[in-house]
Amino acid sequence: MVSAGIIFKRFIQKPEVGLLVNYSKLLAGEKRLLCAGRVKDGIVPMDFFADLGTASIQISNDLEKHFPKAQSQIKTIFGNLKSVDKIQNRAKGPVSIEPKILRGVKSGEVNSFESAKAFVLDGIGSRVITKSLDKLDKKQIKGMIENLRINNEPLSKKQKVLLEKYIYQQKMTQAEEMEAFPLFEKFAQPLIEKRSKQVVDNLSLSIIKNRMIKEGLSIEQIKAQGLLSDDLIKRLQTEKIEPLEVTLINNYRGASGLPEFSSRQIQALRKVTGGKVIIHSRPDLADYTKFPSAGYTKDELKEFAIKPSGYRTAQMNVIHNDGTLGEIQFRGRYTNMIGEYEHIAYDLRQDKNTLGPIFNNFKSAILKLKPAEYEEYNKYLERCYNYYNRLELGLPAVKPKLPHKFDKILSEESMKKLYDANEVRLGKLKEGFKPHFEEVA
Amino acid sequence: MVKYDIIKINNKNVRMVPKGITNMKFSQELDKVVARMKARIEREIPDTGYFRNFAEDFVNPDEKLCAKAVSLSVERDENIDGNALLLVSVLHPFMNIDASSMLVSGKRDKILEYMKKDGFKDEVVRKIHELADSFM
Repeated sequence: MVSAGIIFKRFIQKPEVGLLVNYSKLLAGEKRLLCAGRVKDGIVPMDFFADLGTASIQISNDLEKHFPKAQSQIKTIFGNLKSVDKIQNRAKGPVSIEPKILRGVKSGEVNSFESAKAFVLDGIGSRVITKSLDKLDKKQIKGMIENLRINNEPLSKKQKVLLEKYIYQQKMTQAEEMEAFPLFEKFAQPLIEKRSKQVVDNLSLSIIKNRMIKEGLSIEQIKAQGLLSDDLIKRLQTEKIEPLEVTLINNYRGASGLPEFSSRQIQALRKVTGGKVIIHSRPDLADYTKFPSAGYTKDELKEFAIKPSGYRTAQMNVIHNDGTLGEIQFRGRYTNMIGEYEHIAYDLRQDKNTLGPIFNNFKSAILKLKPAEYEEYNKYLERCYNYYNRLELGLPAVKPKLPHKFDKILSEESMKKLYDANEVRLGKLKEGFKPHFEEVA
Repeated sequence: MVKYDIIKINNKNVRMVPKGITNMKFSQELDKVVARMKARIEREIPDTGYFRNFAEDFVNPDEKLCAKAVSLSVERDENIDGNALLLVSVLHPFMNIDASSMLVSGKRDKILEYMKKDGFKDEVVRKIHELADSFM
């Protein structure tokens, strides 16, 4: 389409997915975001979205250029670890970039091409998927309970019984569950740390190396501040370490889920970054009341889990060596699997429908749920996350069943089937497909 | 763009404070929390051995700041005996998440010395704004 001498086209990034662009501006290589500020007028002309689409393609092209170096950086840091199952990387495509910068334009944080670029914090996304631990037997679990110390004290007999019931998922009252969960978290801490130790060690070394280069941090200072253990200092002195800058850490988990990294590991990372990193966490999960004046008790705060569906991952905003902004997610292989499709229900409730026709029945079932039912459904999803996390940690795990009141299509098994079928369908559509521009009628 | 407001000027004392602390109630509340924390650090962090984590906070009176409450807290260093971390945290208005950052770590005296330094309050305010902005 040509309007006032401007050519508009539609960029088809992948089958069924595309966005409108100002083709003239794209050809001219103009990197300006003219639409910023206009959203407040309530006017949504065609060139507004074309402008956003054009900037999204330009940002995406830029990310593609930087992608190989960023990918290689992440692979160098984590790729050779025995505890790592696989690493996935991708540069954000224009279709994903567009809604993000639109949000920035709406909030006023994006007002130029450069600010749009800086707003896409996860331009290069990486996932470090870690392997599961071997399954623990009853004797090992019993030994761990016996050796558990909280504030240097062994557990009382009552606490031991409670913890054992929680570990083996025996029937408990809600009050017992609330009492048992902090014990369970302490019990699981060594397992969490065992599974993520290599990843956290290498991450710490890379952060420190970055500080040595950028801030002139010395080995003596590292020793004096107790930033690294002796064996890591030795590695720092003898191995070639790839630097990495981390700016924000989110250690996501659900209301009764375990984190990917333990509080001890997060604290160590906090120190390693020299206080420069911002950490997002759930206030109720600190073992003390951080905000006594806020008018909420720890138990009440528990109702506000960061992700009601139980989404769990350690997520970090990073700056790659060439200045490109990126995000790394650390997850176990089962958590990664459920994470691929668990968010579909949430996206549909938010009216984000980028799914194919395979999901039509699922969509209608999820949209029928009343708020209270959706809340209950999220609790079911959280139990699924916790089930898979237990498998990753080698703990006893009973697969949760979808409550009878819900349509069977909403079960986790059904979601997985739909997701897999959709992937096969998309795979077929992608055969021979190349991103291209289409004329706009 | 005006980045700083001069709130107190006389011949002896010129204080430049980051934009955002023009809210006097906020400034007063922060002073109180800092004073209470200094006293507790002195009293509650031992040279060696176990101690309980603790915090002092106030409900944010500054509508321009995306925060329900602001807190200073001390966490026991889980890897080094007798060491602690001084943190500043901001509670999201929905209270489902907080953003925190470390100000200093080390022994009790090192933390107290750090809190007595000129510019400590300015640094805390700057961090509070950074943390609140991270919710956006």
